[in-house]
Amino acid sequence: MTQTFSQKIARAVLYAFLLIVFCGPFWGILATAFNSATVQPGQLLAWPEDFTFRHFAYAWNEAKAYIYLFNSIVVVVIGTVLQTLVSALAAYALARKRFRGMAVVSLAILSTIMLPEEVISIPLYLILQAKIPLLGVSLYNTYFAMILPVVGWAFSVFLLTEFMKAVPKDLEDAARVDGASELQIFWHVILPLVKPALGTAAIFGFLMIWDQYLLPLIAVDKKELYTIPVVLRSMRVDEIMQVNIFIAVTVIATVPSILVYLALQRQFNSGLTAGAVKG
Amino acid sequence: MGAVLVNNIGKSFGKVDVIKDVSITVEPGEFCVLIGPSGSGKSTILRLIAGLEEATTGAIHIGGRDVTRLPPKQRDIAMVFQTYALYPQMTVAENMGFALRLSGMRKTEIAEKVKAAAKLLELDQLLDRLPKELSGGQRQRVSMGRAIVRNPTVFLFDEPLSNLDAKLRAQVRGEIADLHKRLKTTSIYVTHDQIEAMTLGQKIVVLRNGRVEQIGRPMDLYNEPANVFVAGFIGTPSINLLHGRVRVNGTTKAVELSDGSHIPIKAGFDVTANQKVVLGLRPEHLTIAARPDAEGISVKVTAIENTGSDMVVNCEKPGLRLVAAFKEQRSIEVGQAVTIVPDHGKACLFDCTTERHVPFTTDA
Ligand SMILES: Nc1ncnc2c1ncn2[C@@H]1O[C@H](COP(=O)(O)OP(=O)(O)OP(=O)(O)O)[C@@H](O)[C@H]1O
Ligand SMILES: [Mg+2]
Repeated sequence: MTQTFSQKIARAVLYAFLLIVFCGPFWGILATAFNSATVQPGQLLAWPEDFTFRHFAYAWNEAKAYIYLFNSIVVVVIGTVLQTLVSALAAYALARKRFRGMAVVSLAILSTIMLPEEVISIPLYLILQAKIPLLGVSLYNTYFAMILPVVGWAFSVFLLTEFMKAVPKDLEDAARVDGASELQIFWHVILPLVKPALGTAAIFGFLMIWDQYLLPLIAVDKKELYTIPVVLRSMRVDEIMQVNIFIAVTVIATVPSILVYLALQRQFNSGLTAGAVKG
Repeated sequence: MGAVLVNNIGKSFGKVDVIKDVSITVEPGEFCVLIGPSGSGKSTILRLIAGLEEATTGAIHIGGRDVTRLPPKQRDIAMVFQTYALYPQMTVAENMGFALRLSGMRKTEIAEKVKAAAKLLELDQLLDRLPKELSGGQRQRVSMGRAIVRNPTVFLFDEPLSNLDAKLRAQVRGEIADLHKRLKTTSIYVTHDQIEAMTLGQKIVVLRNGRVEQIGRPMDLYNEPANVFVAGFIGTPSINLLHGRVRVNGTTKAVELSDGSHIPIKAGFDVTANQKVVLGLRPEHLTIAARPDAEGISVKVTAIENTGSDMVVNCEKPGLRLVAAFKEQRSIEVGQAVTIVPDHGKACLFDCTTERHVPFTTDA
């Protein structure tokens, strides 16, 4: 398609605008984090005046950002794996089986999206505090307290359900005749065919768990179990903490998300569009 | 003892009885075809035998074992689906070896068996391809290969040729016949194409509305259909069904058609004078009289379909339509008046109310 000169200009302006809107804040954070002189709260720089790694070094060594980064990574990795697995299994049942009470189960899962986090925070707190029968311990102040509540996520259940519904019934029957058990059908036939959707669900799940703030706040009160978002909050209210260091931790917090996105970008995009043209 | 015994099975989906009291015996090595119009329950019966559906009533035995309540994998069957149902993410070799892999067979052994089956079906060159890289005919062959590799007691086919074009269909039909001659595996084959049924089947089961209408060898169904439905279903072009009344004149019997013409019938038919009947005349058993005043049905030609080898002539007179088929070319034209003479010995006769074939008198 040929474009006139003015069309090209309009396009360039539009891209520049979008770039500034989306990347501008991130650039500001980077510039500020690498700037040696401290800035006032609320201030962002467009360009570092004198470049330094000092704030990062401080954030890492003195503010011990690695502890919180590690906590976040433990929670997000185990959480994403479990969440995707559980969602896939739930989706398999919802998409491929007919069972009594199916509508009720579906509705129950759906209702978890409709309730805001804040509404369930107190009951959740009480549950996490409660001692587990037989074991006699509570989940409170453990990694599990931050992981288990995000393992069931309606969004990824429904995303995968839709994709699994599209797998032809004959394939399942063929596998059954070939001697596959229920679990083998799930593993060898259904899962490979919904791979793009699985990738999409995993990325969304990763971002969702990485951004959890209220949950870790409810689930743990030991500082050494804090995740990055929680620790950022506690730094922000810390009077003596320099803004640049706070921002350096913020940069550290965004790195994993960006890495995951870049690594799985192709998968992500194909997963988003795969539903449109089934194939 | 049959290889597959289906004993009075019934199947309901909710309140709807889809299969009603069906019994079929398939002998070891036999090629049995299930045929019937759409919705008659062919696929459902096949899926019941495969174990993909559970029978509501009745029992199924395969190879002498009662498998009624067993899952598909314990039935020792292999199935070829209408859609082929190849696993899209697996190569041809992986598709064919999947069942063996699940059974825990060693990799080298699987590769060997897959190779042997691929050779049989001329798939050797395609083993590393994915299903989407194959033509329709090749996919069909892979789905057969997947069944053959397992060497099961029974092959089940659900309309395996319906997604192929006419030419390929005839070719693959021949290949399936060849394969069966070589492997001699008991097969149950579902189709709604009566040419497939006649050419492949050693036994044909005609179904309607979930019931068996007739079971028999192809030529028995053709020569002596049990009822009007089977007569109409078997044979192309379809049989001419003409209503009339029996006239008895001493020892000779005839059917008087609505137009007044008399068609003689075999004296052996157990009919009474004036009985209302349906006369079945196959198009290929009709000839055109050399002289227009010969005894027969005088009609006017309305259409001629000429395929080169066959000539199908549609004729008509008020209240009566006839289709005649000839193997040799005739010089007839549309609009011409002709006299059609049936081959009396080959006419079928059905009672008008029961629609069943009229029996022969024992003393005849
Ligand atoms: N799972 C099901 N639930 C409800 N009814 C069903 C189900 N499967 C089949 N039927 C009904 O059973 C009847 C027979 O279906 P079946 O698929 O066996 O027919 P068929 O002879 O194979 O037809 P076709 O030639 O169109 O494939 C149909 O009326 C169909 O609607
Ligand atoms: Mg069918």
